[in-house]
Amino acid sequence: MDPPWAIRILAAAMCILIVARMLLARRGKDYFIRRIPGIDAIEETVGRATETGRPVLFSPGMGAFDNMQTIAGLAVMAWVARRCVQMSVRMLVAIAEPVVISAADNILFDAFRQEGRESEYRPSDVFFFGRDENAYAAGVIGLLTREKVAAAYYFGGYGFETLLMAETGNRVGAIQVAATADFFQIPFFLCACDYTLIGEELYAASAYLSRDPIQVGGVSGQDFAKAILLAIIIAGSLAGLWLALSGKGGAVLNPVEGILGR
Amino acid sequence: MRRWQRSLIFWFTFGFGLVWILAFFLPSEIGGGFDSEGVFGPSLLGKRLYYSTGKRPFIAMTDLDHTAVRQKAFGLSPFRKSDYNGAAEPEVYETPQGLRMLYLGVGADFAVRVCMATSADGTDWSPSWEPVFDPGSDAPILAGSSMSLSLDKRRLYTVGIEKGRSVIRSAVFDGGAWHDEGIYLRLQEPYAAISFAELPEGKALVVADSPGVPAFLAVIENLPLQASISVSPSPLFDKLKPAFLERARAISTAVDGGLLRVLIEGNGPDGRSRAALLQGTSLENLTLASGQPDGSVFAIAPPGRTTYFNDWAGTLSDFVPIVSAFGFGLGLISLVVVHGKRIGKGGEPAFLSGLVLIAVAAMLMTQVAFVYSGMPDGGIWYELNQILFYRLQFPLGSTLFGLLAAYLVSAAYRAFRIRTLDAAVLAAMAAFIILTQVPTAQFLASLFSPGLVDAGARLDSAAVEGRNWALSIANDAVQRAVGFGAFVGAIAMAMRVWLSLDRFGSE
Repeated sequence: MDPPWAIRILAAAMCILIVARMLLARRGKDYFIRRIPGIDAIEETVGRATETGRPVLFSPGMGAFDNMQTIAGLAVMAWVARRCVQMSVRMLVAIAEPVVISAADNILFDAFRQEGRESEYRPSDVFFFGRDENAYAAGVIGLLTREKVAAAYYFGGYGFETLLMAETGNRVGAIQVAATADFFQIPFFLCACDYTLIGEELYAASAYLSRDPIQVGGVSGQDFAKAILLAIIIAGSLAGLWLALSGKGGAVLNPVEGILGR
Repeated sequence: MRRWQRSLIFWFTFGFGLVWILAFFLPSEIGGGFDSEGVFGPSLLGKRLYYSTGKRPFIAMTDLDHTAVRQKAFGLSPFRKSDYNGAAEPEVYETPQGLRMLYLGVGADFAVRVCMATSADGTDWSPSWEPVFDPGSDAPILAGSSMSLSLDKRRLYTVGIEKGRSVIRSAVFDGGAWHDEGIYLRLQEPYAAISFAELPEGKALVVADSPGVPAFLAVIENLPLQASISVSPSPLFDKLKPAFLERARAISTAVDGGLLRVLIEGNGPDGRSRAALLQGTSLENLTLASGQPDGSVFAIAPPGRTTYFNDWAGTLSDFVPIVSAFGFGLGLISLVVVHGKRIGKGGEPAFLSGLVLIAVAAMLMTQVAFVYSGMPDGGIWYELNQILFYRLQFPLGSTLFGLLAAYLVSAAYRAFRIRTLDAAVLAAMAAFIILTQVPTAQFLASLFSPGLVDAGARLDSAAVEGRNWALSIANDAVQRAVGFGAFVGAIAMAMRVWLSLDRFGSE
């Protein structure tokens, strides 16, 4: 399919804007990110796991490695893994996609390596449950109940298994933080988890945690791009309303629609 | 990680992404669109048009009323040998088991075979791993030829060349498989058939072509013919061929509710690839059903200069399933390592882990043996597949899915505890949505007086309007807001990965 020219131009403009902000941030410009309570809670939950001596569970979702939600989830996992190693908390990772195993494995090992404790790294803490949603849910439910995890983090793309996992986590008394951009799974996480990050907050999470200037710049660029989109929507809606009320809609709107749809 | 390793990863990621980005941003006239080469061998089912694309063709689809964008029906896979080098000439039809699509697959050995894809909704198609009909190595050359189905969908025609002459072969479906019937029709020189379609009452339409002569449509009567025949332009030709089609290339026919539908595909004088749809109760009273300003139902720009980015992007995408296939090995190793260690430790977990490994081995062995034995309809591997897959895994999956019902109740109980104003609004809205699913007001009114039932019905009707507003306006606006944010966030994430600016916290 050929995307319309308006979409191509808008997509290019957004990409340029986001990269420009990343580069500006790298040069030292300081950008502000608003507070996200769900991410603040991660630190607290790892602390609680330390006190109870129970492990934490991290799930980067059901998506493949070409899914941006999975990549965002893994970026958050890097931070959580390091904090777990620092606080001597065992971290269990539940994987659905085979290709993600090696990435998760590397991230977990990297966290131990950075703290100089490679010998404590256990590859068997990365569990592969398969792509089937039922199998994955059954595997995660098993881990949650057997290991009596102190905290569970669900960061990525999910299907119907969200409620099965999160509700079980709730029953075993785990503090749960979830983040997904899958609209229909958000209500389930909201019901069953203590903290839920909605939509874009998933992509901002790693920047918020790491405070890496480039990532922070990216989040700032993404907010700016969203503001531009919002302005276009509002302007378009007002213009459309005015044209419809003034009776000029047919004459003016159709050519505009034609240009945008080309 | 060493500097050269990081550099290699950066340039690989950057190059891979750049090809996709250029394929997206550049217009089809210079190589961006997947069907810029034209529309080939279209097939119509209802209002949905299926067709094959140009280079390394694959099957694409769109709707005649333009309610759906042009999209792939299914992609080519480097693991599927039957259509490794392309899929073309789709023929779609309905069966009691769902939709079926027969198409010509150009295999890894460049031989052309008839393959099949299945679908429940006409959008998500699953191609079969093996061809359904192989004309064999001594059969006429089929490459570049046309395929069509009889009106009752039980006979398959393939157009090819044998000893320099056009031949139409047929295969018949006996309920389980397609069987070759041999030559159905031979055409005498000087014309060559390029497309063949059956008509009611033992007639057929042929698109005939010859060097130096414009392609024309011919009507053949009293089929099947054993002897070779000579075709000439039909008197109906001028009537059938719309003015916007200078050169007809392919034809397909279907009878839909007593209505004969003839779809002709070809090129216009401006080089645009177009499809015309003629409909009527018989061949004599066909009329043009147009959807485009020029009278066609589908028109696409002529191929222009190409930057080949789209082709390269398609070829590069072959890389993804190959990596995924290796990933499965990783998954298997991870599974064996994790459960092997637990078996080594002993105790109750060891028993369960042993069970997991036995189940994996049994399923793997059964599936491999079942596929390699040609997926027969009986025998030990078939039975084992039925037991493990349909009588064990499916019910287990359904059981787990059934747990959702119980979990929904407990989650809803927590969600609807009214502690704040937000929770009160949420609970009220939920109650309203639930109550408007049934005629609550009518029921309540009937408890008091039968005369109030009409008033209750009017109240129910107004409530349904309110429910629809909540679901389609308020809820839709929220969905789009979340979708917008996620979309922009995904772009930002993609840019960070593409430019290797995100290192997952390492270093």
